Amino acid sequence: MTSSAGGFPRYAEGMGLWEHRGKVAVVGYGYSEIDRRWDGVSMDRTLGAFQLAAMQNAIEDAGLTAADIDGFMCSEAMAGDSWAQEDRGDPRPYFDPPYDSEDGLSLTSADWLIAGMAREGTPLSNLQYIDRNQLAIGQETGKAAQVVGDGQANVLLMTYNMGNVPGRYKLEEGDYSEGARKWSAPWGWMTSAMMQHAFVFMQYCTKYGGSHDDLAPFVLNQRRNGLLTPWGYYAQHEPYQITLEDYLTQRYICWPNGLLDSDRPVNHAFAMIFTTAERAKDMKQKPIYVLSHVQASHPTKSTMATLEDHEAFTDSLARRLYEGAGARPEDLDIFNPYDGFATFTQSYLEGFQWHGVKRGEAFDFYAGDIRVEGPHPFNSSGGNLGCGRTRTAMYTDSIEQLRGTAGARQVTVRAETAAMGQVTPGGNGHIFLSVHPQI
Amino acid sequence: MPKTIPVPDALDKPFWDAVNEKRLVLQFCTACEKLQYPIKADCVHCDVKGQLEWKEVEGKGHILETLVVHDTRVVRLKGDVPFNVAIISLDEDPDINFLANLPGTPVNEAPQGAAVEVVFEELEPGRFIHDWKVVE
Amino acid sequence: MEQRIPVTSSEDGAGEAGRRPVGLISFDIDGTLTTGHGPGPITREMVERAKEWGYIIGSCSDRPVGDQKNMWETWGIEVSFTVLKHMLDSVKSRFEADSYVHIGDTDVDYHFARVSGFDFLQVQTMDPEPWMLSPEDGQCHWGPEGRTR
Repeated sequence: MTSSAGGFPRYAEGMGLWEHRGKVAVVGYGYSEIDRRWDGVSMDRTLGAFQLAAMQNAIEDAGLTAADIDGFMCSEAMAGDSWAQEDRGDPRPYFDPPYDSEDGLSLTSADWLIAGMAREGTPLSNLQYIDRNQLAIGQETGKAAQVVGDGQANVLLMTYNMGNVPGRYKLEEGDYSEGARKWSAPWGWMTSAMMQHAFVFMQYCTKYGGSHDDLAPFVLNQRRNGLLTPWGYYAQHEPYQITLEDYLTQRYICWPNGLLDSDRPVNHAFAMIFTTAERAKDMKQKPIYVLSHVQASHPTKSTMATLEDHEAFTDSLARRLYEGAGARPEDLDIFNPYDGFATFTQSYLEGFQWHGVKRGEAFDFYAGDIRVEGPHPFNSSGGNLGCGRTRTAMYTDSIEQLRGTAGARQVTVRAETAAMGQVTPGGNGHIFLSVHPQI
Repeated sequence: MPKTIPVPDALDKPFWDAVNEKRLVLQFCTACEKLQYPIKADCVHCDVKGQLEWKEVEGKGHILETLVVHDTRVVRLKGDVPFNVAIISLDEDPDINFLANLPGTPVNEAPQGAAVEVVFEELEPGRFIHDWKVVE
Repeated sequence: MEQRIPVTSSEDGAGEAGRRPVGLISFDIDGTLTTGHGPGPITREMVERAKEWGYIIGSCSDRPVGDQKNMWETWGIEVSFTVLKHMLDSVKSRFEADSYVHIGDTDVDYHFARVSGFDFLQVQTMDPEPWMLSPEDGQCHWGPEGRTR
């Protein structure tokens, strides 16, 4: 059994067509239930329990058994703040095994998940490849496709979670700032990416015109799409549409970023199965081929990255993804870029030139018909803003759109290709899927 | 505004020592001739290592944009919301940017693009921090 | 500018001299009321009793106003105000009362109470108010989730 480090396979310019284009396929996906937070007592609704359910659902969706899986990939990074770190309440009272540590509660290790599958009678008994070091699902999906293309695994189960335990995010207490925080905290800069993107968004408005309120049609449509996603947080727990007045009167955390521009953390997990196109031929689901994938990791050269940086980053991302797939912008039918904060999604929309949108044109595009039943069904998943901070709604929607099983969200335009990814312009991974092995 | 107090380390001590003398001294890479801030072990612009020196800059800049913080995790600043957080580009090298609270400028009134100059605020006896103020 | 609404809890015809003090209570929802996400400790019965006792009641939450109204409709309680969290000061300008209290569970509640001239009661640590006590046994019966989160 080999265990691989999580390097990015495709981050460089000029790599051309992906060498495994059309030779790797997505043949299954699964997801868990969703909660705003784990309630601290329901052991069947922990992050770990949710993730095991997502993995089992993906295996079932693919028509496989756990014994068919020979590759496993996950991210062991903590999915949210741990209870022990939060700003009120006592340190977590741990529980009987397997919940006698943070593992399974605010993070999930590969060992915990593999042991959990065995405990539940669905052992991953034939693993030949394990990768536990993925950063986030954007990079993880590309790495999964690459591993199968390279022949390191034949049937790979990839899983990702986003967790949320009781309490608010931790506060930054004390009178002193050390390490990297000494360059930001004294002036009130929070650790969140929110302020970085609020700054770039302000530069965007200065350069191209428009204001925060021009995001309203996009944010309202994200919620609408989310309400059409039956498993999503809002559809499940707060099933109401927000209004323009709600948007315009929202509370600002850091102008120009308000509460409704920010995704809400949830407890949720997702899984996906990749295999070779050859193996996929006779499987339960019609294969969805991987045509390309790319990653990006750009250091910030001063205190803050700028609009110029983010435009260059997303131009590169789009150029490389299209190049790897042998595709052009007009070949991309379904586009589900990231929306953790509403203030940066236009970077991707314009960088990928989806439906012909060029730099500075996003607000006009948002003001048009972007509904799923319309001609420009942008971010048909509803993303994080519509489904909660799962980071995976973009993947479930893309697969469902290509399968034709998106239900009330099914677009009326052609749905043969899809691109999706995350997280930020500076640190990212995208993947290009298609119902055909090539464009 | 009660800024948190930066704790110098071996790498950035010369920067903070200069700030305590009310001077702004940045890193300068003699290989690629680029200024660097924040202080880091290696040049972020080129692959050449070990070529970083210290260079005093004039402390003139312009406001790129200004955000207004209404809610913060930094407990020491909670009592001061809402407050400005501006991003300042340095005139000597516009690729260098700083954060600023723009002392004296009310929130929502920061003039985008305005000229600013560095000021030094004493946080503890003898310990200063740099901020930026709109030039009248 | 909205007109400030004079409020009295005295019976009809009672003059100013016979006026009882009137209190206003603003409730946060999530983490404060049992209907919140996550559920807080203050029950529907407590809120209803506060209203019966003559308090001016309403909600002040980050939930959209429409959702706040839906929540109160579901609970079957008619309230005097439903405002966004950063608009708590508008409540004070709309209603004349002798005391203004906001009950919530976070430092954001505390902040907006402070800047809006309200007293703040943190729901996890507050002593039970008289209107929270059951008329049957004189005890405070917090919601099923308790006050631990």
